[in-house]
Amino acid sequence: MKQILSLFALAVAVFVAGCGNSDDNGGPATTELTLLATGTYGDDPLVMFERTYEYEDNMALQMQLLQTYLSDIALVYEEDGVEKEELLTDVALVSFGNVFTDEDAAEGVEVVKMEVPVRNYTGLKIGLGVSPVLNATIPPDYDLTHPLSQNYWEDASSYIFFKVEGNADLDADGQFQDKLTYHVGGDNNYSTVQFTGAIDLEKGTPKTLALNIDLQKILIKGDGTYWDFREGQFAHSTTSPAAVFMGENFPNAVRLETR
Amino acid sequence: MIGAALLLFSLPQCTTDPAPSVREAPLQGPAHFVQLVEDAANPYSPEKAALGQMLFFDPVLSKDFSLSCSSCHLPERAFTDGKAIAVGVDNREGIRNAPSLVNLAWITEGLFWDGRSPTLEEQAVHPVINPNELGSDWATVLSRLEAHPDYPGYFEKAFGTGIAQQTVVHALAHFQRSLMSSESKYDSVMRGEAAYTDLELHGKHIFFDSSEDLPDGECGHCHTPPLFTDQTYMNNGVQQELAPYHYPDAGRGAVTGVKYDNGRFRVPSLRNITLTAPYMHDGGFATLEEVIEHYNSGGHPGLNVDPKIRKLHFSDEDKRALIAFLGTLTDTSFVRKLSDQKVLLQ
Repeated sequence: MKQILSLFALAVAVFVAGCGNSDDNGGPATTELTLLATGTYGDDPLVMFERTYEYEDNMALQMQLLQTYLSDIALVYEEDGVEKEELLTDVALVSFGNVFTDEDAAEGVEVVKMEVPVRNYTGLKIGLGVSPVLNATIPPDYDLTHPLSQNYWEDASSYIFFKVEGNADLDADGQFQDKLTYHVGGDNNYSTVQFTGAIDLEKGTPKTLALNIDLQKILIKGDGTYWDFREGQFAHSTTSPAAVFMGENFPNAVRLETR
Repeated sequence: MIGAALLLFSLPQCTTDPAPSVREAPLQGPAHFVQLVEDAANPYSPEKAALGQMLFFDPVLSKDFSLSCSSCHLPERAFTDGKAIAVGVDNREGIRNAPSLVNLAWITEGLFWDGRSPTLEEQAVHPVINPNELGSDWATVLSRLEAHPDYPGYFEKAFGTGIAQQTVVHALAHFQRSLMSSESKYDSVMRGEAAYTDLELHGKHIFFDSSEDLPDGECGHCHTPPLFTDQTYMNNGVQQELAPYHYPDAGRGAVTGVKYDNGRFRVPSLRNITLTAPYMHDGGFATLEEVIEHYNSGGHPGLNVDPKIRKLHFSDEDKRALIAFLGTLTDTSFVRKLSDQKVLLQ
């Protein structure tokens, strides 16, 4: 009889799961967490097309695209003295290509929005680019709706981790006629960052975090070293100097804000 | 046993059964393509596609029985018509080049050059009633199909229901969804079954920017394999900018209302490109040589011309090589005469 009842419970559970919408499955309490991405250029909002951003040595640029993959985004917490992770998503594609106004820029781009167990988290981990595990996959491994169904470099056997595209004025004549196309990929250009600090999630209180990406810091290092557009306006390989320069800088160009 | 029986009993309640005579069979793509996602609202079946094929080639959809969809989308031209601008009933000229219909099952970012239709089902509504295309109206089309000796039975077989605008466009959508091209020389090389000639390989390196010894062609950024489109909208400098962000044909911008989208058009697939001349949204280039010369020159300047459009510095040999590589995207099996599928509906 006990066995029959157990099987009945399984049948009911499958039925309910198949039809969806179970509000209370007895799991841990959750609350809604939203992770946004915002783009800036120094202190200025990053908007596409008409905004001019001053650059080093009297150069300037106007942007058309900043796009990046983020991998293994996870909240960090401690349990019994052991650091554990609550994975939010294994990969997301973030594009600022449709950010045209300061309002768009302030609003940010949604990276992930989901119910997360309420806890006192101690930080957030993010991979900048496509993690090596996922970078070993190929688009046919995914369906059309998956972020990794696109942006693949067959010849480099890598996804394009991030793209920086725009036009530059290299000689301070007010004309933005010099094209910039930097595409960066390859395991060598992947990095991870961990933000440490209290992220307390309470039941019934939605929380929003914002990952800020500062384009200026991708292009200019803290010591003032900058990528000279005149030395290379394009990068299409995993090892080109511009790609490596920007890949190295990316971890220094992100910060996490709580809203 | 009882639990298992309950399990089997409970599952069918979650779904809506199709009519008993209607077969559903998920559309399968080739293994080296991204996986397809079944549309739950209009699941694919060979019968629906067969019906769509009949409708596609039937002038019953046009105002005066003079044209069918296939008049502007000829299989032997990879479903284009060889004209710069498509011509509809009463010899009325449209506004743009008839696009190729290839691998549309994978297209998720809009149909038509400006992407104004989100799905094939929605797209199929328009050519029937566009005065520059088939110029008819849906009431007329439906009454003709109802009066036809065979179509009512075919719809019953395919959909388990009668003739309606929805079932007509669903059938047309599935026929177009079934048009898959994946048997070109490029595909054979990818599968390790063939090899490029030296000239084709030279062109491939230019196309994908994969050789430091050759100029970058910047083609593969937007014409990404295996579809050879990334489904984005871009301004490739083919139009002269009349004023800031103002072009003779606003393209995508007329749909979104965003000025930065003005002059942008859907990046077309390059599969079977040797068969689909003339090229661009306005059919402005008669040959691939003209297309390559356009990109080599950097095109017209414009505030929202894509940064990847720039002077490329090709040699004559580079241009020949690029055309040779583009030739490897021709799929002769795709453009042969379609077999009659009527048997599926009888």
